[in-house]
Amino acid sequence: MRRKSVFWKILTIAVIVAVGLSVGVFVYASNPDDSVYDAEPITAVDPAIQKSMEEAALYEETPRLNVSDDQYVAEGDKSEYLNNNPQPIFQAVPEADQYFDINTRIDEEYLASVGAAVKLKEVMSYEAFLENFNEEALTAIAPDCMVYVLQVHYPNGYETRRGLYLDAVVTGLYDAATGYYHGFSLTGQCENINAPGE
Amino acid sequence: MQRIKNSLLKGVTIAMVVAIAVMSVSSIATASYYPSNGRAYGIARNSGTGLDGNFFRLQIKAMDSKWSSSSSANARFILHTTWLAFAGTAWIECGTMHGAIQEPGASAPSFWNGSYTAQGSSSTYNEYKISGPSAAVNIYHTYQISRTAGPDSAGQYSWGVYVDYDLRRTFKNTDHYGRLPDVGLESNESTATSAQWNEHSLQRIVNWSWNNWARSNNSLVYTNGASVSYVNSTTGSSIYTSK
Repeated sequence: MRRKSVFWKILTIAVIVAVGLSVGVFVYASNPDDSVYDAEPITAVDPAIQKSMEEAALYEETPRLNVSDDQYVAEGDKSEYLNNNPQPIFQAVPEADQYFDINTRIDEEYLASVGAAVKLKEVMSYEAFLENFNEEALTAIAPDCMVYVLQVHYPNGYETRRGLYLDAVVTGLYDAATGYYHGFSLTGQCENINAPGE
Repeated sequence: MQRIKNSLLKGVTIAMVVAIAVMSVSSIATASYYPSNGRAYGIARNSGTGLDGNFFRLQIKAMDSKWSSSSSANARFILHTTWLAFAGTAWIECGTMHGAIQEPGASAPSFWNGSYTAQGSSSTYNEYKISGPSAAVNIYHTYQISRTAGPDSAGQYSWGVYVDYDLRRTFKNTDHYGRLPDVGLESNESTATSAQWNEHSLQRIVNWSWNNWARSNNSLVYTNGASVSYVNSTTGSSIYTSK
């Protein structure tokens, strides 16, 4: 009788341990992003988010009436609504003889660790940038607005939202007066694009 | 003693069988829940080809990529957007996002919450903020990708990205027409969230006429906890998306 009791005790403990282990494996496998568990709890607004929101607010437009009312948009020709020459937001600031320090946006140690190197960091007018780099325009920037151009070569590849581009030359664009970051253009070779339908 | 040993052996065997059974069920559920790239999509796709462009309108609601500047969370993003595909792997996208935007000289992405545009192919990729349009909840915006000019002397066409009918950025490619437009939600983060958004007035531009997407020309794709559904039972030009 005692041996039977020992057997059932052992069996019960074994089943509890097995189910516990299995549930643990299930929960872990259901969250392939390990960072969920690594991340520190966020108790306040991240300073980088706060800074970005403050910058965005400086340039915020007044919502246009024809898109702010609660109406579905009728079918038909909308060509008459289209404005191909909106007023630029980032204007020339002639008195700006002090530009922001582009070096604050460059992590040389990191770049060296991934085999990347800065090819160019230079202030120029937006018009000159478009011409020299054969770029298409952001209409938010006036042609005579001064911009900081930062170009970095990543021979081992640059990870983007859409995949890893090998032998990438990445050209970043900043407002020279304020350091506001506009975005980047890249040339390279991507073997595995992460986009819907691809 | 022998009987105790036998009891132990039986216990261990049963425990292993139970564990293997439960783990098998777990792995099946995981495999079916996460596709190969692990991204969450809740999108409507139109089968249109020969398009002069694509258009939609949305009302901004809450979304959170769970981005932070810590190394484990600074690549996260969530977005509501439209993609217009071109020949090969080329595409243009524009919409509104919350989360990571790459900076070429930095060791980590920075943060952006607002409208954006991107254009890519197997050999190029551009990603830019669209400064100006508000990211405040309940604001409406229209987004449009359409051909603006071409071909030039090099055989290239210019494609414009419009937000609220204002041209924001142009891109060049050799395609006269776009195809297979998508509208909806994408995220690379399992803990990211989005309230229910209504992407509506989904219209494709053919011969410079903006026409609602027909349900018969659409398909819905939803993966990894994102959802998409039609707003009503008769049209394919208005969807709900959430995560």
